[in-house]
Amino acid sequence: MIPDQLGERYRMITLFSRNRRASIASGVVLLILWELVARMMGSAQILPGPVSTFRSLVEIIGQDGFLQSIGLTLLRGLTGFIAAFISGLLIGILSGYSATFEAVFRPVLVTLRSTPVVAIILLALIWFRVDQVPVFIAFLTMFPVLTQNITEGIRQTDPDLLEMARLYRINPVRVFTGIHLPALTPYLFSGISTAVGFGWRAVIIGEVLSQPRYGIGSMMQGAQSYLLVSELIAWTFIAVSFSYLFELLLIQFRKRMIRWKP
Amino acid sequence: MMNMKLDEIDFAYPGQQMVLDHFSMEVTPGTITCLLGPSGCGKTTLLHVIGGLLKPQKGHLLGFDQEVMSYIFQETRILPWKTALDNVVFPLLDLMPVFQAEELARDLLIEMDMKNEINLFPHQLSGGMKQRVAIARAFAYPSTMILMDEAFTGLDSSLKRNILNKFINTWKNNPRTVICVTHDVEEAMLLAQEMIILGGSPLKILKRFSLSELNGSAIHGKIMEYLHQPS
Repeated sequence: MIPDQLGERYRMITLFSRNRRASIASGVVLLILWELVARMMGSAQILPGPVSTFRSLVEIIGQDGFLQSIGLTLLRGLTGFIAAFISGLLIGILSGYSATFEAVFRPVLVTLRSTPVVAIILLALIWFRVDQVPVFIAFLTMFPVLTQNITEGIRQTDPDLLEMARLYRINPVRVFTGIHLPALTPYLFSGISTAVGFGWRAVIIGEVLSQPRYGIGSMMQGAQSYLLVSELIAWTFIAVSFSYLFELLLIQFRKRMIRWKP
Repeated sequence: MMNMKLDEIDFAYPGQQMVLDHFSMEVTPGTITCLLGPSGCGKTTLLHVIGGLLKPQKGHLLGFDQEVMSYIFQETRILPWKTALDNVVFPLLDLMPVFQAEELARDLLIEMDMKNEINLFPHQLSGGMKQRVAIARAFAYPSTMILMDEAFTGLDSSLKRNILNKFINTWKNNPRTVICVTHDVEEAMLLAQEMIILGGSPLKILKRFSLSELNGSAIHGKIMEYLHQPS
């Protein structure tokens, strides 16, 4: 079975575009509800309305350090992702080929997946510099997801195709590049989508707790400290937007890479 | 050409009854031999022994070059991420330069009446077209023998006839020994130059028909008689 989580998201996004009017209407209703609740609360320091939040968003964009914060958070996430992707590819492929290797590595992955992110951050705060903590957290969050998807992709390669390759005496390198890798691609995209979702949140949590000078998480923490709730929500909006943008890019890339799928 | 012979072959799956017990059979090189028998009688096991996928516990295979065999299966086993052309080219890449492999593959696909589908992916092809890609791949591979395992099962009768005709025409242009395992009498009769009826447990040859006998009258009835005789 080929995982089609990303395909499902694609369908949801297309559905969103197709039923744009309904989606816009729903968004408007939510904004009105938000405004109503904010007015009922009567305090912008507890729940600001959408207008003042939008004003904060514009102010944030104009502030010094905005681009550095966005850029550095992206850079931390990207560094963690590249490290997780390379090691996940290596360990995942080896685990896919060798059940013994997988058995040796499985406890590590299970432990990583089930350890609370906060526990890892607290340890990382002791071990690393503040700006390295989010990178480390991103790596540890994404690595097991990517590894398990890659292992699964290698394992699920159609045995009939592998037998065909054996019968036609196709060399192992070509079997890997011509059969295993393409068979792996849908699993890889699904893994990247899930891993980046987790990783992006983890980087921001890491920044909130480690407080590097620049970063979306640091800015959120700063806003929270001064009870600048509208600014906090504006930063949250920025973080969600980047996550959504990445998802869209990934879906487009997947469409190009998996042209052979009906 | 050296005769191809299975000599006193014994084969059993671990912990199970003998499938082949002192089984001997000759194949005439350069012909299409159909092994006809009921489902589950052990003819696929026999084909796997011929192809070297299964090692016999005893006996010898003489004159079979297991290094250079092509295969056509019921499931086409073509790669979903490669076009029809690239599927035919794929097994050739270790054997010849890409341009030569592509030229050969293109010629065979055109011979299989797939000129307009050369660059399509498998999901864009019908079941019959996919099987034609598998046939083109088998002929493109520089083998001395093609082994076919229920290759046309599941195709409807008119489509099957159409593909069998294309197979035979391609074979005439690229002759080699073909061993075809099937339980389908119609398929065997359309394809075979020699037909071997198999049955029993362990597997044995019930009857061998030559081309002249296959062209004779009332052959269908005779085949059915052998196929349905109690083992």
